[in-house]
Amino acid sequence: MSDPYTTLGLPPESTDETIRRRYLMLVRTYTPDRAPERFTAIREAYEKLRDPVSRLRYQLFEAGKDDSLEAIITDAKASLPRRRVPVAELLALGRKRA
Amino acid sequence: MAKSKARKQRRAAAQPDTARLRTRTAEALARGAFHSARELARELCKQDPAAEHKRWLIEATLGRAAQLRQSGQAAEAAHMLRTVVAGGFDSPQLLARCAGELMLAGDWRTAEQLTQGVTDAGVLQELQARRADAAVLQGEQGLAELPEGIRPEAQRVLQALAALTQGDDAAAHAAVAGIPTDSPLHDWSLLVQGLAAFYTDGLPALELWQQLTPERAPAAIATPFRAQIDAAFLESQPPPQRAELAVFGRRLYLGPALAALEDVRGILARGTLVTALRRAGEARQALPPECQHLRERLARVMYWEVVRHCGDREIDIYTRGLGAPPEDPELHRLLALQCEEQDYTAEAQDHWAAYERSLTQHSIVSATDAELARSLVWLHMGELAEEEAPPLPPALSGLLPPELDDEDACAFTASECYRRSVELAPQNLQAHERLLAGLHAEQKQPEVVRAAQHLLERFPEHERALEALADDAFRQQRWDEAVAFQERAVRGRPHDANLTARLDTYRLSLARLRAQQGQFEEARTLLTAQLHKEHASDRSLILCRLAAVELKAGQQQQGMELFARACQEAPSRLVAVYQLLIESIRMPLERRLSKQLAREFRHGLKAEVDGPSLVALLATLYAFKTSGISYAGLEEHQTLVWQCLKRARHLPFTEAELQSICTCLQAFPGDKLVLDFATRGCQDFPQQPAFPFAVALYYLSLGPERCPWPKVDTALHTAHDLVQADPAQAQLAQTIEALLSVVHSAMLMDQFEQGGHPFGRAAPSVPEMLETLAGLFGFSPDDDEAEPDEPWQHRSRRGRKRR
Repeated sequence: MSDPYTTLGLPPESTDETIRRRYLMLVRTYTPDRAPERFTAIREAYEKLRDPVSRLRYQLFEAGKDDSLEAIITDAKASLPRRRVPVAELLALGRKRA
Repeated sequence: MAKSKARKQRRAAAQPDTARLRTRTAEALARGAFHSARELARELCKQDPAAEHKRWLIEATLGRAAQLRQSGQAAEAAHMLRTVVAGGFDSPQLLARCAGELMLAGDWRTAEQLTQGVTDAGVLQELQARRADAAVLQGEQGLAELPEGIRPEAQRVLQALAALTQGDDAAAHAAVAGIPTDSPLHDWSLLVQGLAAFYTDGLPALELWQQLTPERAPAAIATPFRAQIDAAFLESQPPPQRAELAVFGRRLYLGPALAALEDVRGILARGTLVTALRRAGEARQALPPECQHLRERLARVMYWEVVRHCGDREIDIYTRGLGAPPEDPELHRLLALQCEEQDYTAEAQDHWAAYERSLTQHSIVSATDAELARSLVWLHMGELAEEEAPPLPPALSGLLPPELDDEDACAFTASECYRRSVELAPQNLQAHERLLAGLHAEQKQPEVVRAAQHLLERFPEHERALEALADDAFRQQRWDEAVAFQERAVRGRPHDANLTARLDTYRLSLARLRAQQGQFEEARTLLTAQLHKEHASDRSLILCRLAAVELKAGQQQQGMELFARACQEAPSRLVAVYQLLIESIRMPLERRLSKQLAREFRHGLKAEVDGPSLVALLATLYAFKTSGISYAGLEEHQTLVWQCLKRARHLPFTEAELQSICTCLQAFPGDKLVLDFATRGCQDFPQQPAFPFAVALYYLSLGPERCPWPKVDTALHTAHDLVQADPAQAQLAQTIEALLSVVHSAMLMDQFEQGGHPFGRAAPSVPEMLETLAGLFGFSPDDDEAEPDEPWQHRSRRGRKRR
């Protein structure tokens, strides 16, 4: 499991209301029948951040405990700048793999 | 001539038979060895020109041609394909594939000739798609091979790809916007949109690429990109391709950060934390400033790796490479977590205490959260203390020796920690609840009341707090208050059977109070309501109480009628007599009636009493003992019941009756009767763990000076082994385990007192230690089987718990 703030796509200083709104928006998008794994991850992340006591408990005792290098690498791939592959290379890739 | 014949015979002998050739061809095709597969298929066709073998030959040729084309030998590929074209195709799909491969190899003319006779709509559509793919893949010069109608769309695809390369995503989107979904170039449009999403955000690309046709060129181009953001997709690729995709990924991302992160992952997987920590330091440096959140996450992940690894060297390298995390600047928390990993609870508590101090010194959390954060740390420290010395159930505490002088004990008890936690943050409900439960377990009644009142100030309808106050009011015989508190508690948990049962008990007592106050109608209403409850468990008791109310009200006839009904409902008349006798004393009723009932009670006890009646009499005495309530004559009645019980020791009892008797007698510590009945239970019902458990409790009740620890140990282990077989007795199992840990400590202390150090010198060898432990626990380290010498003793060492 990834960092709960990353799962919800929120900064660490988010308020109760912001977290709740974001959670409701995400569970409407990733419903249990369409994306069961994502839904579970969102639920678990929300449970950790839902009120000040849970958030503080997470910050003091669990921050980073369930995070993994795998998740960091996935997120790094999403946020690191990417090289734009030239057309010739793309087409060569297609010819090679087709 | 003879020589030639011999050569022919040798060649024939060396030639594999058809079945073997088939197997080898199929295997070669399956593993993608198309060159070998083609040779084998040709040989197979020579031996047996069946349709299936011809199909295999075409498959192998198509595969081999693709390999040649991919390695830059397009002309050779086209030549090879033309060899199979002449043989014809029995499947339109194979024909379409061959035509597509010819187009990719640049032999458009042969492809055209091959497809001239095709009329099937599906195959024609596939051919169109293959033609579009082959044309776009060849760039501008390939477009001339497309029909006039779709040439502009292909042109737009190439323009969009060029715009993407230049970073103009809007132009790329605009270029492919007009391509309809039924166009053979629609997949190319999806590829372009996906690439634009990939270059900017990443995840939305997945949804687009999941719509691509897997056999087509756009899907082939998207594969290495998709593998970077879709872990499940990457996992589904064959291992050699996975490595190739990883290499592509490294080239795709700018800077060394990703490569460094992947290195750390690889090193960690090999289990070398020190190297991984050093490389993580480099990865952290390599991550660009806009990825600060990734830097923090990387540091945290490595922090937890250090916690799990529990080494000092790793801490040093961690701090040098990644720095102390802002939430743990002095690394007290890290040390505490390491101690917890290794079950050093007391040391862990010390480090948490240091961390709690650093919370205020270093402003780790915001000023508004500081008190709550400290409260949470104290709460955790309390949990650790509780883990180190779990509280025993109220019935058992007090039986054990006073606190053992344990060097490993936590500096703060659980109650101390929870109290501090509540003081720091009264809004922390969990701290209140833990404190209340802990004090209740320790039977510190005045403190329980204070804690419950404090809790109710913040959480006015908290059921456990209301229940605790109701219980206290009941003990103080303030029946009104007890009922009021309990009614509020039941409102919070209306389906809790224990809560409602206690409320019923309190209401029965309140009914007596009302009768004493002369409010007979209210007393009748309360008792009648109890009587009419669907699951009224003790109807004879309620009827006796109702009879006492009527007698108090002067309704003699009605009172005696109710008493007669109570006698019918009770296990025997003797039980009903005892219940009315108690009521006549407590109400009080006429002295004449009390004397008469007392006489009958004494007389009844002298006769033989059956099992259910004995259990009912004992249950009444048990209720008075545990609630701490008394009445004039209780001691005398207890003595009389005890005498009766002694005489009844050899009567036949059911398992449930014996169990109830043992449970009730446990409330009277030190009484040898419990040992008699428990031993009898061990003999008659050897599978019931409650009996060896009762034996252990009896010995414990003798006090630390007289307690035979080995016997307690044996009985507890027997009970522990038996209780494992019954998942319903999980609570008893937990109690036994808690007791075992204390008993083992006591036994070790005993050894210290008798012979100094239990091992004779400071550092015993492993065999010596085993031998000493074997002596302590009465087993041979070589022989795990022991002969039972007690009725309950069929012990196994597997379940033993040692500290």
